[in-house]
Amino acid sequence: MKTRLIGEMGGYLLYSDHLEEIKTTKNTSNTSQEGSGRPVGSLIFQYGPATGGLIESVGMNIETFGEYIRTISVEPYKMRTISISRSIEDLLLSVERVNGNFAASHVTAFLTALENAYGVTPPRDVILGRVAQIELERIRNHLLVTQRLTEHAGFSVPSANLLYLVEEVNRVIGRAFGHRYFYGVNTLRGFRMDWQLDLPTLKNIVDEFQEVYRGILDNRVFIDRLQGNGLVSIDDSIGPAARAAGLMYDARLDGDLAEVYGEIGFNISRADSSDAFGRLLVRGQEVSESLRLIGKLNIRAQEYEAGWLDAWEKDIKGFTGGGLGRVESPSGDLAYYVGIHKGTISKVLLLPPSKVNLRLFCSSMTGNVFTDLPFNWESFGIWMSEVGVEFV
Amino acid sequence: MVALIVALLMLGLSPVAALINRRSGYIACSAGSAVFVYYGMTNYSNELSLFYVAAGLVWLFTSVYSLYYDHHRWLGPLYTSSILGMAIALTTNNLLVFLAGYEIMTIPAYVTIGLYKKTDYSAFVFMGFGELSTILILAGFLYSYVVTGSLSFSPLTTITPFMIAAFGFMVKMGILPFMVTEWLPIAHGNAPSNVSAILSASMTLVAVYGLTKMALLTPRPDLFGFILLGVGGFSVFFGAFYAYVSDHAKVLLGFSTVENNGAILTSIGVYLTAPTHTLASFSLITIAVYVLAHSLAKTGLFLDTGMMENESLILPRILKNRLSDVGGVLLASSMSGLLPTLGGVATWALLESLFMEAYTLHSALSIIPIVTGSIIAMGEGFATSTMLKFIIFAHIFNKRSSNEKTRPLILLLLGLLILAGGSATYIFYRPFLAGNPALGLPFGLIASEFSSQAFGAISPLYVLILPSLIGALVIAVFGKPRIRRSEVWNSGAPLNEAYTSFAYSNNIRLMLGKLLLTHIGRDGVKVVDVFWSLTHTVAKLFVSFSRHFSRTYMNSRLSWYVIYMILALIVFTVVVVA
Amino acid sequence: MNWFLKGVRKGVRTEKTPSDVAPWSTELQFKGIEEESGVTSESLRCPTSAIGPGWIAERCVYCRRCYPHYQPTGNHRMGVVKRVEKRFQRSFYLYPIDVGTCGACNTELRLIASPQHDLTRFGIFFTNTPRHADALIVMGIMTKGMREAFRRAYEAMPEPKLVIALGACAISGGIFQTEKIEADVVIPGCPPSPYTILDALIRAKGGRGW
Repeated sequence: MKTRLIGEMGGYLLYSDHLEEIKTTKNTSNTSQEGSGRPVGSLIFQYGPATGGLIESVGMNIETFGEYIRTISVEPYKMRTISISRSIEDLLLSVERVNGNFAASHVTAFLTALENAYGVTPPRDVILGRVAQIELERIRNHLLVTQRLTEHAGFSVPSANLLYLVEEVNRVIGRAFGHRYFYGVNTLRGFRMDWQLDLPTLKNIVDEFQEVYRGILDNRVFIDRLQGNGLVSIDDSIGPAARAAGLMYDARLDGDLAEVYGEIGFNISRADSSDAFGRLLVRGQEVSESLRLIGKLNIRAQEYEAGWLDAWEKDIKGFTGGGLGRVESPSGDLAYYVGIHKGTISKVLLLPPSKVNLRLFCSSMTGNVFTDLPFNWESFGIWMSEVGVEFV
Repeated sequence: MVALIVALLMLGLSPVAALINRRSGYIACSAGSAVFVYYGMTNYSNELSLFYVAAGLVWLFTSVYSLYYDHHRWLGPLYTSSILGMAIALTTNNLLVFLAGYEIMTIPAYVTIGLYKKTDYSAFVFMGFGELSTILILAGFLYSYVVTGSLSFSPLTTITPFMIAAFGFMVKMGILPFMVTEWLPIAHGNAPSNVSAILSASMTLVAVYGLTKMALLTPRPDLFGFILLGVGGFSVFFGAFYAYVSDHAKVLLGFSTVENNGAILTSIGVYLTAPTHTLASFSLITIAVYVLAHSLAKTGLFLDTGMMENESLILPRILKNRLSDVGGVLLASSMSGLLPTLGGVATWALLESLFMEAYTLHSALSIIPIVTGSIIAMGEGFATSTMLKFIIFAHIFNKRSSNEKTRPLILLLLGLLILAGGSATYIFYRPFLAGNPALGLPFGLIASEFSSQAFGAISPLYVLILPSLIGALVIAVFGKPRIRRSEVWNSGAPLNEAYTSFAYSNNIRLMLGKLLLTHIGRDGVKVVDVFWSLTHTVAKLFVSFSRHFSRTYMNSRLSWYVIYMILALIVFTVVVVA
Repeated sequence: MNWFLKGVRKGVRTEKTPSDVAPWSTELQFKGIEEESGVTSESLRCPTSAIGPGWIAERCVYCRRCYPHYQPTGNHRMGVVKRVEKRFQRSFYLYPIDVGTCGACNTELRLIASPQHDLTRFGIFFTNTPRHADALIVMGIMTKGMREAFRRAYEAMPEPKLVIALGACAISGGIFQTEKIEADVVIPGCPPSPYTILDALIRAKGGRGW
């Protein structure tokens, strides 16, 4: 498979098969470009930080001369810093809270980076458990993104239906794992699970979603808001945005969990339009695919105790090295690099998918109009929480 | 009659006075205008007398305003001569004297535009169209002379002279497709505010006057009346439409004049095609009321632009003053056709007369007034947004404090006149007064009617009184409202930049891009007056066709050309008057 | 099929009483065999010092390190209402402001509008501007960028007004150990479940809770 560029993480460029130091500075700012200078009558229309309309705090500076968007730059107002000078266990709790909605993906990428640094492989059951969590997260996220799109369109019945389903997924997760956002579920030694995963209920949820999804795809007025909205240049895209453009970009094919995904027979979902509509199509397919994968995993309701960690703990004081962990979060490639110096964590680099998606969003906004903004925004599944995080 | 002679003498004296002393010229002009208004009021014979009142009021307010505005040496004499010309044209019954007055009114305007020019061709364009207008009117008058054998305005048996002259007057009025005569001299000629007011408010008034006067003397045409009606409707729409997307304060007002002249033309069309006598007299009154409403309000708004530091609405910076704010809002309400102002009555009467015509015609032809009415209603929608834009960006944002009292006071007076004028229309619509005891309104209604059956009615007086009364009552019962002032909520961010007037109307630039030839480029959005660009293209083709001729013609310097034109016309005038 | 009919066909899905709550978002209780006083935050390696004496709801981030000494009881009614405003009994408008969340509080707050919970039947609504709000729901840690926006939102609200702190981050700084935001109503949890949120909101406007 061809090497692909995923994004920038703290002075490095992350490719699908290696990490490369940046030698020349490249413009990767969250601003779309159209000419320079400000034309007569234009203004910076500020939307946010407390938008009311969007689910998180985010500031958008929209350069416009009315209706038509010339450029847009996005400012993450909520910048959080996470101290790495804590115990690994405490740091793990912070990593969970980098992005609550993608907590399992973040924790898995972080733990994988750590395990790669030490050169250990957790038991297969642990890996399968992580995969199950990520796929559950994906189902919930795609449902939520679809719900947000219908809500912005004022499409009340499907919006309420989808919100109902998001809550149902949360309950399925909560019953099995004890927590709806996988907080406190993953540890260095494995993961905790209280009950068997309720697969029949999950299947009903996905069936009901597919029914609603088919219904909204039949609605011309709704589709018109998405088609042609937010066309992205395809080369530097990731996640559903890349797959919508027909690319074979998926960390489940080339990331750290690729082997497991390959064994259980993962099929990539793709579409042939690089707009908001294409992204919705990909998400719709992925919900079913995720359900199919979870059904094959057959994870058991028990907490694993891993013996491999004991050897590691003995050696922990003198260890120096680093490792990279990359998984496919619901919005695309998510990577952590963990550097360890003499047994303590000295460096944590993060490439959240939202950072790349934010750039794609900005570049796809030039020439758009105000009305299309929320649809394009939601179609990327961006979470500002993970964009504004810095590990120090 | 004595009043008229006094008025003309004083107006005639004012250019000379202005040459010696600027202020004395304006004072003489103000006094003459006041007497002219008095003449119009005391010698009220038919609706045409209302034109005198309207013109006199415009000159009076503009001249008084100029006392506190003009700083240019040549402006006074030119301005006052132009007014003298208008006074002559309005009061004569001789065709050639009318034409002479018409030229005396126009020539100083060329010179003024030449003096204040930004581009060389603006004076040429204005002059070109001005002379086209004169030639057409002259042709019409000559035909009239051939038919009647008289040099006076006299009843005609054929409509041809009226048709020819009508095109001449329509060019001057900036009717579609000649909108360029209204906006270009203002935009590129950079005319001062007082001259702009005269150009846009009362020069077009003279053209409307001539057109109406001819219409009164002409037998009822069949098709031509409907043509005027329809063309007027489209002018309303396009005038308002282009006004809405203009960000130069004066160009916006210039296009608004096109819109209003279109409405007046439609009313003339209704008059010419009215199936009943009642409707004809109703529409004749409407013409006069519309002229009064437009002249006063437009004058006020042009004078308002004189108080701006910058004529672009994108960055207007206007004097901060409560008086001019109230005045401006009242004037803009009238221009938007809102009751109880004069403009409100006029707009209602126009639309009402179109509906009545459609109803009484009761034939396939009814479709014309119905469609025109809908087009005008659409245009009025744009006109309201245009005025809202003007008033928001000229009076609410970007203020600069000032202690000036006089000029804002003039604006306020004009505003109050417009407000009270709405209720004064009872005098003009005397045959149409009515009451409806069932609604608790024993009197005070203006009712449109056909064959003695009421069609619709409005009451500017009640609209004026009731809200004030209810407002006063609420305050009396509940006391003064409690006001909590807090910062504007801008989604949590401080207020950085204000919305611009350009952005305000950009939605239409994008939506109707095909009509406006909207071009979005690196430097911004551009739109084009389609009709002018078409004319311009034709003109360029013509120029390349007769290259040799155009070279000798265009190479001469503008000033020489202006001087030549002035001399030629003065000689012409002298010969004719003598 | 028409969406209205589709909606009707699904029937009523709103719950009369709370039915399905994730255990690790409810109250924790000491279930150990030794004396409770002998168990401390240090001994249980509690990352937010939420133990001792007893379990401190405001600080807990549900990391489960105290398990099995402390175990969830299933009681979701953990909200603390310091000030009740009866005027909001029939109509209670909320303006949420996220000053630095991980996104989980945002989603859980959003989910009180899901058909299962249906906030509107309790006379509670969301509004998109603080100008129309009766209560400001603040969530997340107080970040530098959002401090000013938070102040502006509070000042933009008409009187009387309530400030509701949602989630461990806002109440106590949570896992990030930052500052605590002063509030009239405190809703613990990391994140608080929709049941916990609704119960506290209903009590804040003078109701009995849910």
